[in-house]
Amino acid sequence: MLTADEVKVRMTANIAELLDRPVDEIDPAADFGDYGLDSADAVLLAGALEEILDREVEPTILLRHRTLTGLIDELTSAGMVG
Amino acid sequence: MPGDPAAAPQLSLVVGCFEMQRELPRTLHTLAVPYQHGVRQEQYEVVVVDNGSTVPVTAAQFAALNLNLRVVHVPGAPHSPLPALNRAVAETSGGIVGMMIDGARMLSPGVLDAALRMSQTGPRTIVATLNFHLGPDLQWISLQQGYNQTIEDRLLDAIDWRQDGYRLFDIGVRPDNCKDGWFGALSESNALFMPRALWDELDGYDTAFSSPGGGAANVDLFGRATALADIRLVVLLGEASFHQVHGGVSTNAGALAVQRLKEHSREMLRVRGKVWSRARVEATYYGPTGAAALAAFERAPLSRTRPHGVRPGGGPIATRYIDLVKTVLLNEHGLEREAQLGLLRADSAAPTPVEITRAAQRLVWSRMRGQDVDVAAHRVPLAYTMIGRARLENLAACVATVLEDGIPGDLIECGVWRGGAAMLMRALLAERGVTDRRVWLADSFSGLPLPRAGTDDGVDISAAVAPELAVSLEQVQANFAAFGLLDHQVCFLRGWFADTLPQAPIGTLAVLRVDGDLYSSTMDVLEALYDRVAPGGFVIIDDYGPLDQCARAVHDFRDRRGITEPLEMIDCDGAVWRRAWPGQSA
Repeated sequence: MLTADEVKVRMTANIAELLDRPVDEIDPAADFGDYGLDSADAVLLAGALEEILDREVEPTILLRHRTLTGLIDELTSAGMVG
Repeated sequence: MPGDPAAAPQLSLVVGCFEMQRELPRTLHTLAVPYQHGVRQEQYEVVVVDNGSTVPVTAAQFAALNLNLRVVHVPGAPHSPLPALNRAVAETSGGIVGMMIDGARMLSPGVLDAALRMSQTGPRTIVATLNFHLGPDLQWISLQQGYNQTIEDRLLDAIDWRQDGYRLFDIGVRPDNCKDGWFGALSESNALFMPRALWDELDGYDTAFSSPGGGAANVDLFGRATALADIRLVVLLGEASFHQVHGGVSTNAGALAVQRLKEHSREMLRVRGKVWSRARVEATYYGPTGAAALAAFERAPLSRTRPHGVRPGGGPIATRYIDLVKTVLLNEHGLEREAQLGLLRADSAAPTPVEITRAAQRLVWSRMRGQDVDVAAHRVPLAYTMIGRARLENLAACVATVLEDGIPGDLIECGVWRGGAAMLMRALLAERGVTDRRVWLADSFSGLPLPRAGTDDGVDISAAVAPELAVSLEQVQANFAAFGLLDHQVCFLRGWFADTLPQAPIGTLAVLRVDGDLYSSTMDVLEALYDRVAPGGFVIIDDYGPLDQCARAVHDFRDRRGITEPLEMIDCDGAVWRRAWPGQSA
């Protein structure tokens, strides 16, 4: 199982790619809404998360959480990351 | 002949298709002259790559289009069409390669002319278009809200797109490849043009993408093309492709579309090691190419960063009064507050300024077409009407026309909600000093009736289910009074249509606006009032597009009465026809 940190690093890279911003500008505690991520982006990122975790991920998980930190916390408590 | 330089067309356009019996004929029609303006048939060839459809496509089916058309059959219906698409390009000889990976996408009438012109501006110019979806929203959203092929057929049948393809912009709302309007960054293009040398330099589609339909390969191709050195990307304005729903009829088509998008995202990560993103390249913009394209560009909701009603001051005070009334009726002046409230309702956390701005922008677009209502979610606009800018403007135009043409009669709305549309009608009479016509409002003023057995498809949006659709008479009168529009020229008919309308003390009608949603309500209004509509008067059906039962009532009534005046969509929802009259010009 991937660790929370590994998933965080890879998802940060994906969000940076999607937003066309440098990785170091992506703050895991910042609000997704503030980055202008929309529901289509949420689907794309859910796909990325599925690929990383190799299991199904509902796009709503990205809409439920407003930050990457919150998302990773849920994945951790659901036992999906270590 | 392919390969014969003497006969080589300038453009070889390759169209992918699989099981598109419904969609491909429309798509090919939009590729042919005279639908396409400003090009000659001999300038381009079209190659359809049929990736193993159960009923194979044949060129003979489309002989009437006079297209320079070939069909390539791929045996065995492989998952991925990419190898066959690459092969098809290799077998053509046009100096410009056009690629439409998805044959369900109709084009607007100026795409090929603009693409040919722009492709010739440099050896490294690629031409891209926005990918609109037909229907009220992106189809992976609208499919989950009831949009389907039946509705799409109805919309297309009622815009006469063969005559004027720019009308597709009236029933196609948002593009899937660009979320920030015409000038935003593109993620791909479903009608993409480039010099053959560039196609070869890219080596076409990367067949490492192997998902059904080609997956994210089109996004990848566009990303690689725009990343080439010394590239000029030209994006067409006022032209676009329009996606028809395809891939079978399934009740969970929307969820499947989301699933597919997710799988494409996974594949991109697998093949390229990154999520898909929008092209990071400066674009040059070309168009609109003529008056019709300009009009399409201007009325596309995504052209607007501000509400429709925002305009510079000046002009006659009467015009400015009507403008102001429309703006207030639609709450266009308060969209930012409305967006903020919507976000607060959905989520208890305080919305950020960026979220508010984006939500307000979405409201600007949805308010254009009256797409703000979600009965299931108890969501209605914070406005006096839910019909949106396009239908409100249509209503104003109908009233202006009957006044200017001297068509006699009163104006009525049946099903008034908060009264906004009827308030506009009264304001228009006031603007022009008309004192001998009345505005009627027929409504239960207690919400919709229960569905009638047999006709109303069991759809219950009565007050118990949808309380926000029930507005009291007192409230509607208060709304009129707030605008200074409540007087003897405004008449209310309170009760179910079947009870009030047949005996209503109404003489002639010049405008009949029907907004009853249900089959029974729509039919009750038409039965009671249609014969009172003067020749030259207008009949407006607010729910014709999205609601099967409403459309069925209209069809049944028109068939029964032998009504042949053309029914035309206003937007994705409303339709209108005008009764023939002696003074009508040919």
